[in-house]
Amino acid sequence: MDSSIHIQLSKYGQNLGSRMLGKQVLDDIGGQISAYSKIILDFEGVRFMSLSFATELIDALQKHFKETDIIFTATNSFVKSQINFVLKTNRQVIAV
Amino acid sequence: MKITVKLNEKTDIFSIVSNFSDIWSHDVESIIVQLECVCDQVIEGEIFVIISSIVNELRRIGKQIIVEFEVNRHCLSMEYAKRMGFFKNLKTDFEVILYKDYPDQHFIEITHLAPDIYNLNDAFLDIFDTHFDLIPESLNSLVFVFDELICNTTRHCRSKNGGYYFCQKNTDRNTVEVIIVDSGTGIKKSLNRAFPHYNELTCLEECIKFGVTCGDGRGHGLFFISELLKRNKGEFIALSGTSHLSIKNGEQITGNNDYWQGTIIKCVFTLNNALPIEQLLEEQNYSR
Repeated sequence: MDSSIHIQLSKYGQNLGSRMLGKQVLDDIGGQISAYSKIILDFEGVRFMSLSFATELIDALQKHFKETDIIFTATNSFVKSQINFVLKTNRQVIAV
Repeated sequence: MKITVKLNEKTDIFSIVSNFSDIWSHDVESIIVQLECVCDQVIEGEIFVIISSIVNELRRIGKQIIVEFEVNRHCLSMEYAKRMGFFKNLKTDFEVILYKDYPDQHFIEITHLAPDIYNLNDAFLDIFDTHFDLIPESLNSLVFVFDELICNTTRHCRSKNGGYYFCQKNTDRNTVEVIIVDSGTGIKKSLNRAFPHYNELTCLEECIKFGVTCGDGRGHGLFFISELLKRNKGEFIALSGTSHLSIKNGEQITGNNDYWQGTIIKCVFTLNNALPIEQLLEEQNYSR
């Protein structure tokens, strides 16, 4: 297993808010991830992301796909700070 | 039962809450709410939001509400109330005619937040972009605050009627003020699911601490909001049940008030001291 899956998050909107949307993204992509060693979350075109969305998505990815590397790409400074915060305060420690 | 509400420039959150606090201990079918307004005094926007919330909550639980007005319908306060959408939200046919155009509307009018709404960021960003003229640091922080407050109202407070919010840029004070009012379970009941021994005041003090949650979330929302406003030299008020907590000029005060069914949160950003929320998120040493 040495392949990656690319997820373009802007298809969910330029403003990613709420836990519900985080769950929806996870439902959409969850079935595919286990076949890949790497997941690329592409934030090109994403302007805003809420802490609850980030927490829901990143927590679940880390919990359920421990063997999968997660790459965050094209993040603006605001999105980046949210991701970094979620990662550093996560209950689970994983390698990204 | 008749409740007389006197609106003038001294009317604040606490006095309005006090006006309506008896309602919950009287089993009456019909309530007359009489609004009296001293002409042309400045009445804070939050007052109209709180009245909208309580009147509609009482209707939702089956009370017959009659709203009467003892006001000069041509006064500036009533014009302001109309522009805020106050009469529309009260579902009254009371007519106020605007005698002047207001081309630059620096506010989001009083809006009902349905209990199943969970993401209004597109709408907020659109309005903030179009009417508020904010620098990016303020804009992101403001949307962050709104997002967290709405999440609290719809998710944690279990308000069957949702809530009401209002946001205004005050160009004279150079602030943006946000208020969100709900008639849900309140902070104590919400937090008691995880911390059953906390009393109401302790719940208010705890709910703004890092990582304190009712078990349904991470407990970061109110912490970041209050911290942001502390450093921004803004203002934060949380009132729930018979207790309140306020932060102003960095000073935190708690106290008791007359009963309010639900929670009222007011946030005032000072735009002169724009602090990017990113800066708070990136600090390293958060712990409980």
